[in-house]
Amino acid sequence: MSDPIPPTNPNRLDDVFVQSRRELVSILLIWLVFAGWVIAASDLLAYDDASEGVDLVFGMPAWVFWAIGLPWIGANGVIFWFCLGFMKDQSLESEET
Amino acid sequence: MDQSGNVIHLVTSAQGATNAALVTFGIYLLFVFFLAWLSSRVRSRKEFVSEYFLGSRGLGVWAFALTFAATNASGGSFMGFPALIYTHGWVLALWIASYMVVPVVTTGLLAKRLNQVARRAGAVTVPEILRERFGSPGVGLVATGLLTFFMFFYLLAQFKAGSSILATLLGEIAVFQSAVAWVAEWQQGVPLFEAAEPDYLLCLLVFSGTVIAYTAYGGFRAVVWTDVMQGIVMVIGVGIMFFLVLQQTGGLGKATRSVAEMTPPDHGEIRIRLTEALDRDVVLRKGAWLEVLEEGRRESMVRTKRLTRIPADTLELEEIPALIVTTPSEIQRIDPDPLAVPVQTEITVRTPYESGAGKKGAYVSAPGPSVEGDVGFLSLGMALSFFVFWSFGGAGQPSNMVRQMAFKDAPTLRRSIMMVSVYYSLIYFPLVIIFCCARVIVPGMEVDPDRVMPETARVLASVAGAPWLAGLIVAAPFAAVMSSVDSFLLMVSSGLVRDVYQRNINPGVSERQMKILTYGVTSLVGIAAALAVLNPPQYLQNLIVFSTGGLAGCFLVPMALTLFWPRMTRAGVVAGMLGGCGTHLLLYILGYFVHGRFAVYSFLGLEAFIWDMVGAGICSIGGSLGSRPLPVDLVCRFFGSVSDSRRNTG
Repeated sequence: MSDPIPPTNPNRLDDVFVQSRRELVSILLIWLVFAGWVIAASDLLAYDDASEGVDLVFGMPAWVFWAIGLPWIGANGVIFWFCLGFMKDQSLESEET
Repeated sequence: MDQSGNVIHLVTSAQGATNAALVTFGIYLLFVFFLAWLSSRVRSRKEFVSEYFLGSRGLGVWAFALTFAATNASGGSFMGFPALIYTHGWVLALWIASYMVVPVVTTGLLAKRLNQVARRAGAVTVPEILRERFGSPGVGLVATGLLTFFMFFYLLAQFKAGSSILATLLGEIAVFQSAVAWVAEWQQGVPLFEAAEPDYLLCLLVFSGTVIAYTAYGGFRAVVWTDVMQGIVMVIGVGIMFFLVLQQTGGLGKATRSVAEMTPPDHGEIRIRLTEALDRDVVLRKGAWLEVLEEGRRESMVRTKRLTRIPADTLELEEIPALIVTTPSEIQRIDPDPLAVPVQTEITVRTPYESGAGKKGAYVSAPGPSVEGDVGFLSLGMALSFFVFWSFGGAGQPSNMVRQMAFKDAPTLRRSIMMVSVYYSLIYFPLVIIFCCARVIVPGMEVDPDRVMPETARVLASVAGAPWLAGLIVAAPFAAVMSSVDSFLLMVSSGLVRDVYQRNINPGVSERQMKILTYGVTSLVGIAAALAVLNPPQYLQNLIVFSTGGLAGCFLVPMALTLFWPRMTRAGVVAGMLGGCGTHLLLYILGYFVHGRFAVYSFLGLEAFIWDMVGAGICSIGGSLGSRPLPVDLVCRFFGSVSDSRRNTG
């Protein structure tokens, strides 16, 4: 295994570290947005009495579509944007950083 | 009617389907061994330790994405999860909703930084990263100890789950039954094996032998390659089931409306009276459908929960446990098993669900019906807990961290996150749809909910006129559990060989000695786990939750701070890991006193894992701020810029 080269300058933070931290905060925000959507929509729609019948959207109970199906599609869209538009390709090799 | 042997009912299993399962399983095992052999050929050309434990950090998109996805989808995804969907209905979509963000959280939260730090440290295991980051062998040893402790519990649970799944899949095959009879004869008088159920013992031997052999021989690369194959098998299995179930129920809307009309069944006991005595002992199978008549009219349908022996010259049997169907349309639709002699069935005990009993719409709304607890299956607070647990619990698993150390480069990570997102979308949401629809086509599976996956596969394939498809479908749960076990087995052996022996006892060990030791330890850990579950422990599901929650509680917060907080110290990381572990154990000890059994105490109604994270966070930060900072050069090694340093020194 090649011997990694240790950086020694304490005055400047590593670019990968800085970008990773940005990505971490963004991921936490993404999680928070979708957690909020799912829990709030479920609270509003999912716990209703369905004994008189159930509203359907695309064949599934309406609350499943609005509280889970739709945010699931939205989450996939946001994840694709995050990966294609926000994450940066950086060299992770210590020798080349 | 099957008049052979002692069975008095019509046997309805499709032998073609089960034979197909056996053939599929055989092909599957051969392919697994082929991949192990292939990976050992690759390894022979590379440096042993890095290749065996980390695949030389060369995982591409397909390998990284699918090994990540497959390892996380354990046997529970294909056995326990379908059973829950079937039993509680559409509310399981809310229970699993966090999987919409699980790919980006578990794969993206720490991955890039973890991979970079691992490269700088030259680390191939999780404890090794901590050891190098803090320049302390003690930190590495604490991490190895905690990791081995919790992972061994997890291994026990997965060995048991794998063997049970195999027994379920192969249970009705004649060849398998002959082998079971042979094992039953052989185990008599053998002290260690005598008490085990023969079918379980046989499956445990096959399952553990296979996993131990290919993991020990093939190492990380074999595990990853088999994960890729297993991941593909899983998505194909789900895809076929999804298509067939929608076709056979007449579409999702029709199926959902039927499910909305259903009311939860009652559990209870029945008494059976024969109209004439039999001249020999006979057996009534588990799962037999019987009708309950009142004034000549069908009042209800019941399904037996266990196999029942009917002695000769007996007219009335002892009470037997049964499931009692309560939905009127189902009562009329289900055909009773044809029996050799007419019987009268009477319901003697009836226990309704504590939540949702007699209520239409219970299966299409939250909180879902539940046998125990009047709040239903999933309260909103628990839904939030699960949203946290699936995302961050996954991110904190050391088995995921190892994979994050092994991908090739940043573009691989980006593409893999997208691929895992699509993959999970194709697995988890369709599973909810499939097994909600399964309520319509395979009624009464509450008698043995863990069998709902193979039974649904059998019925779907049989109705579709292609029984061989069942073989392909039922390979999915087996693939899922195998892909989890192999990863965890390798984690434990790498912890012992690399972190304990090579780094602390004998740093000068030769590559040949390392090879022998690694093969030996991987095999020994696997054999020890298999022996420990010869008589499977009680509270299996609790054991899985205990170990996965414990691992995430110990490692997530300390590892995140290790990677992102330069001020983190040796004392902080040790305090964090022990704080997470201590909180976890404390909640289980409290749970034992409160519930009187091995169960967790949910403080304020939240998952234990959330409190573990709080405990680990407080201890990590408190321990770091209360201790001396690390030397500047050590911090710079992992947080400083190499190029800047080169420019300055140049």
